[in-house]
Parts: sequence; structure tokens; C-alpha cells
Amino acid sequence: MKQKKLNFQNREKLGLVIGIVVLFIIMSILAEGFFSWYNIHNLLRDSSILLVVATGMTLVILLGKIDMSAGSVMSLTAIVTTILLANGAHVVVALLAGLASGALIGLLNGYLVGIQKLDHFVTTFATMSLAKGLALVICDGDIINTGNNDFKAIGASTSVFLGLHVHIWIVAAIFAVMLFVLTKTKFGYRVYSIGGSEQAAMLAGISTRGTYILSFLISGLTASVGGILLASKANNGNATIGDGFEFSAIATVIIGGTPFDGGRGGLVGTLIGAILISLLKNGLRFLNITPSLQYVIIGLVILVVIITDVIINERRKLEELRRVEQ
Amino acid sequence: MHDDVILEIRNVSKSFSGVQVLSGINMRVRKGEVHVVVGENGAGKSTLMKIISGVYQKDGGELLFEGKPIEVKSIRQMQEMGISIIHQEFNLLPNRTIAQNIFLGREPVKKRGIPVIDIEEMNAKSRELLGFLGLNVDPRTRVSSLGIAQQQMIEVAKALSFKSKVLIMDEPTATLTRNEISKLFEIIRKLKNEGVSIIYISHRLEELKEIADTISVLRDGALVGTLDAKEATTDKIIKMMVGREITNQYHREFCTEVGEEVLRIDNLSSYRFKNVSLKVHRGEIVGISGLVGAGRTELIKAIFGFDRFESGEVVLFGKKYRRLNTSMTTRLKVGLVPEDRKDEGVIVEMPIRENIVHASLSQLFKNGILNKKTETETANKYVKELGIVTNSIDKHVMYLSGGNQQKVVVAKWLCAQCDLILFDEPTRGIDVGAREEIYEIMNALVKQGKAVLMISSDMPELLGLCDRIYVMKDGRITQEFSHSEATQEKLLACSI
Repeated sequence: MKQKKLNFQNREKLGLVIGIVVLFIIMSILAEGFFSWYNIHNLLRDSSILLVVATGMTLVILLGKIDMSAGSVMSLTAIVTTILLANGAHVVVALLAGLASGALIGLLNGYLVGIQKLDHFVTTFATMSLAKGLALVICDGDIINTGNNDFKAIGASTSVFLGLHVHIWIVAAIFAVMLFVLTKTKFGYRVYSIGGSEQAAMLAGISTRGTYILSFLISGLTASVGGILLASKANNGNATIGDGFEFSAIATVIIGGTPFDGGRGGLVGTLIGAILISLLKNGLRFLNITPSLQYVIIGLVILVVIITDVIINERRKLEELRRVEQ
Repeated sequence: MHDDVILEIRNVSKSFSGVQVLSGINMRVRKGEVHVVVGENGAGKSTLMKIISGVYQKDGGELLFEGKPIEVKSIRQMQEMGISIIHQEFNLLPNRTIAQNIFLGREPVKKRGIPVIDIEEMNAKSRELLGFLGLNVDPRTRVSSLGIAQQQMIEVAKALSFKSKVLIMDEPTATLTRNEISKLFEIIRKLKNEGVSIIYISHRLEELKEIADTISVLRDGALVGTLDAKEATTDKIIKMMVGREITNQYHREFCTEVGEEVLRIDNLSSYRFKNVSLKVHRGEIVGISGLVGAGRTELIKAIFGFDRFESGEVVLFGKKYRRLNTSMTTRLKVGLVPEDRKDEGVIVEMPIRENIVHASLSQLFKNGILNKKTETETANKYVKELGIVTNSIDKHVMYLSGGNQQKVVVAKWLCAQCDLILFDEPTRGIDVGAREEIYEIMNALVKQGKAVLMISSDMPELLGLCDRIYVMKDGRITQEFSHSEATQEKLLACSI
């Protein structure tokens, strides 16, 4: 019974992995200094911040929704955390307060989308502005230096445990938990069901509200973690620290094979997507390609992935139709 | 007799926004019987079933399950009590596995430790159910890789997993082939032997004989009668289904001399219809009869260039086309009054004025710049001509009644000077008064030498209006009738 055919989605993932390997080999040959543990470790560290934000985003996109507020939540969390530290708060208190700010925005999103049935895009677009505005008001536009050694220790490049940076461990833990939740628990099943067909889910007696709220809450929390990691890396708080990060996170999820209409895909794809994007950015930097051109290339990669997805789906549909006719 | 009644429906009624769709239905379903419910499109079959299964709430009457009155609150409650429904449209998640679909929303959880979904148990139980249904597939297979018949079986498995005592099937055979149907019937018999009662909705009379024990006939939201399947003949059932007298509200002078041909299709095929050929001439109203799902809407949308067709050709005004799109057809002066008025016919958020002109902008404004005065004059002209009831042409279409909305759709095509107008269920959801006005408009159109091709599930309407009627069944045209030949009984007999 163990014979498992490589289905379309797995084939797509395999394509991405092959892409990563090829890209890695090309970069190693072309770019001097790329193939070193120092750089690879850096790359992993960069991808971990992207991955954690994209993890929460994956849940929301699996539901067929989107969370535009993720980047601003990162900024807000960074400001809340660092300003408390700068005013002498204990590091644990400051971190919890930072996470709470993300949780609040997440809950608000979940409440408005899940219970008030507001449009998810407009809602999170509004909370995006709200969170960013709050961050700017709190810090008054300044960059906040914490002067807190415990906080600095989270982000310092010397904070290595068993050969890997603390950031990587934190994100790996969160990712593992979320992977478990999404594939093994009722909540995870519900995310897929509602995203696949809200009507089918409701006709099966599933209540959608709780799932929406929890998913947006998790997205807010993972964005907060991303904000904390970014701030600890810079060792300061800045109200623009997460600007545009939601787009990178969304791109990661889409490249990883979770489409906007939800219901299919998952976290493994997101992991692959995060590595691919970080690899591209890192490698292109080594090849002295300007950040502006990096945008162009990443845009093209997203297009390629989406077009492949469309072609594969089209083929699948045709195959199904043929089966119906037979 | 009485103690083996498992489900009793007493005096159940239901109305939607003031329209009575069910009135005083009484029905008894016995244990282990196949109770077939038949009726024309819109007779209220599906509504009744949705009330029994908890999707809709009834307005009045009572439901008794195993002798006790029950208050239906939710789908889940009814499922747990032992009543499940398999809807006409499947509610499966294509990207999830069979087992995940069967246990959707009530996945088994491991008893100890963290509440993890017990995938092994889910798969094992699903395998058992699939085995009972004689389906040899791995429960870990994704639903999207199954055929329609197999998907149907998954719905059956899902319903069985609740240990259903009453299983409702809403037109289960609509999408199945002969072979698959006989397989389904085998399973129905198997379930019957296990004591499960089945309420089976269909309008394919031929297949009922094979499985029915009892037949109930609905018409216009009321129960016409319940028969023992042994004494029911097809003729008798059709008479009960049709029943009503045709009153003349059509005032149609049928055309004696047809004009030139405006539309001819030859062997048109797509995945929803096969080798369809038909003709429409100037001065004619041509109808297409058939059951819901026979492929009529798909055909008409293909003619309009909205859907693609795979083979065959469409001849419009003497020119052959192998491919069409809507901008071509509208330029050729073909218009479509679609079935789904609110989404496809009008733009509800726009005022009447813009709705009327928006299909003829390049005709009205040759230089490409809109002119409010022309727009107003044009819109006023059609509002007056068609008798659209409104206090202003700036009123948004969403505030109009169904009949007036429909007139706006027609006005749009008149404004575009269409010579051929396709109507898909032109009077659905429209009150009697407005209906007659729509008929008048159609009448006037063909008198002016234009042509009309219409789909209707309302047979008296087709008989009263059409010069010729084609009947479609399972994507094919089965018969063509002239006005004088056609009767309701004949139309129905060709479509089921």
C-alpha cells in the first residue's frame, strides 16, 4: 500500500528544490565568497526571519485571505519592545509586550474578517496603516537604542548554539510547532477545509469564526516574532523596520505553492520558498547586482512559479474532464 | 403500518421573501424504503429536502422522526440524529484526501496526550466504508483525482459514516453514466436491506421503476399525491407532474412565413453538449425545452461567445464562425438575456441610464467621448418604450423589481439594435404581470423582423410563445416540434 505517486503538487515542490540546488551550484561557481559557511549561515539566518513571518501568512493564505498588516506589525513590535527596554523594563516584559501588540492587531484582523465579515484585504490594509502609525507615534520617528545587553545578545552574531544562530533555532521551533498544528490537529484541518470551500465546510457543520480569528492571531504573533528578531539583529528599534516585509512574506508563500484562493499548499512549500528567496537575494548581492534589479528578478521568479501553477492546474482540469467524458 | 414510519412530514410550508415555495406538505417515509420524490423544475423538491436536512428552517408544520417531533436547528444536529443529505452539487474538497473528506469537521482525535488527529483510524474507518460500497480505492487518494461517479460514492460514504437512518439523495444520477447509475442502484438496494430509508429526488422517470417503493409527486410547492410504485405508470406520473391547465396569457400570432436565417449551428460540441444543430429565422421565436442540467444554458452561452465550444460551427447572419467571443457577437448584434440576472444581466450598482447604454457605447458616442444628454435621451426612450417602472433613470438597478430589472436587460440589447436576442429563463422569479409584459416585448421583437431563441423550464410558456421547440436531454437535442405538434406531455417525455 505504500506506493505513492508523485502528485502534481509534490512535482511542483520538487521543481523548486531542483531550482534551489541549481541556483546554489551556479552561485558557488560564479560568486567568490558565496560558498562559505559564514555566508551560508548568514543566508539561513536571513531566511529564518522571512520564514517566521511567512509561517503565519501561510495560514491566512490557506484560508483564501491575506494579511497586509504583517510588515507594520513587525515595526510596531520592534518599537514597543525597544522603547520599553530603553526605559529600563525587564527584557522578558518587553518581549511579551511586543508580542502582545502583534497579537492585538491579529485579533482585531480576525474579529473584523471572521465575525464582522469585512473584506480581508481592506481590513488588513487599514490595520497595516494603523500599526505603522502607532509605531511612529510611540517613537516619534526616532530610532530607539535599547542599551540592553540581554536583548542585544539575542541578535548578536556571536549568539550561536550548536553551530547555528539563536534566531534559526527560535524560528525552527516555531515552524515545527506550526507544521504539527497544521497537519495533525483539527484546527489545521479546518484551515484547509474552509480555504478549500467555505460552503462545504459550513455544510459539514464547521464553525468558521474561531478558525479565522486564530489564524489571524497567529499571523500577528509570527509577524511580531519577526519584528523582534529584526530589531535584535540591528540592536535598535525603528518604525520602518518592517516596511514592505508583508510583500516578501506573501511572495514566499506563493512561490511555495500556496495559491491565493487557498485550500492547498502548506508550510513545507513556504520553507522552500523562504530559502529560495533568501538564496536569490544573497546570491545576487554577491554578484554585485543592485537591489533594484533584485526586485525585478524576484518578480520574474514569482511570475514563473505562478504561470507553472496555472499550467499544471489547467492540465489537471483537462484530465479530470476527460475522465468525466470517457 | 404506522409503527414503521421513520420520518413524517406534517403540513410543512416555506416561503422565500414572500413567495410561497412549499405549502402544506404531508409525507411519510417508512423504514427501509426508497421513497422517490418527483416534480418539475421549481416544484419545491430541493427546498423540502433542505428543510428536512437542516439547511433551511421551515415556516410552519412539523417533522416527526421515529414518532417524536423534532426541532431542526442545524445540519450537524440532523446528521447526528441520523438524517443526512447528499446535495445536488457535491460538497467535497478536491485537494484533500477521501478520508479527510469523509470525516470533514468531525475528525477522530487520539484519546491520550495532545489532541492529535488520528489519521490511521480515519483511514481505517474510511477503508471499511469504501469496502462496503464496493469501491476499491485508497482512502488517502485526493478527491480531485477521482471521477464524478466515484466522487458521488464518497458523498454516500460520508453520509453513511453518520450511521444514517434516512439518507436523502438530491438528483444523484444527474451527472452519472448508465453504468455508474446501475452501480449506484446496487448500493441503494444494499442500504435498503440494512434498513436505511432513502429519499430519492429525481426527474428521470425511466429509472424510478428500478428502485422506487413509493413515489410522491410535487407540483408548484404542493403535494399532488403519493403512489405505490407498483401501480404508478409513467403516463400517470407525468399527468400528475404537469397537471395544470394552460391559460392563455401569450397573445401570440404565430409566424406563417419565416424570414431569412439569422442563426444556424452545425454539430456544435463542448464538454456539456454534443453535436447540437439548430436554426433560427427572422420573425421566429424558437424555444429550447429540457431539464435543468441538460446543457441548455451552456449551449446558449457558447452561441453568445461567452463559453468556448470544441467543435462544430456557428453561422450568424450567413457567416461561419469556428470561434466566438462576446465582443464579436455583440458587434454582430446578438444579445443575451441571461438566467442569472443580477450577476450577468444587469450591473446592480449602476443606474438604469448606464445599464441601458453600456452595451452600445461605440454606437452612441462615435467620437469616444460620453455625452450625458444623448445618454439620458436614449435611456428615457427605452424606459418609456418598455414600460420600466421607475421615478428616475438615475435609480440604481438594485432597487428595481425582478421584472423591471429584466426589462432593463432587454432595453440594453434593444439599444444595441440587436437582431437576435437569446433569452435564458426570461421570466424566472418575475411576477405574473411583468411576465406578460416580457411576452409582449418578445412578440413585438419578432414582429419587427428580429429573432428570439429562448430557454425555458416553464413549459406552458414555451408552448404559448414558440413557433418551434427543440428538446434537449443530456447535452443532445432529442426532438424538434413545431408549434402545432408540441404538447407538455410530449416535451416532458422527450426530456426525461
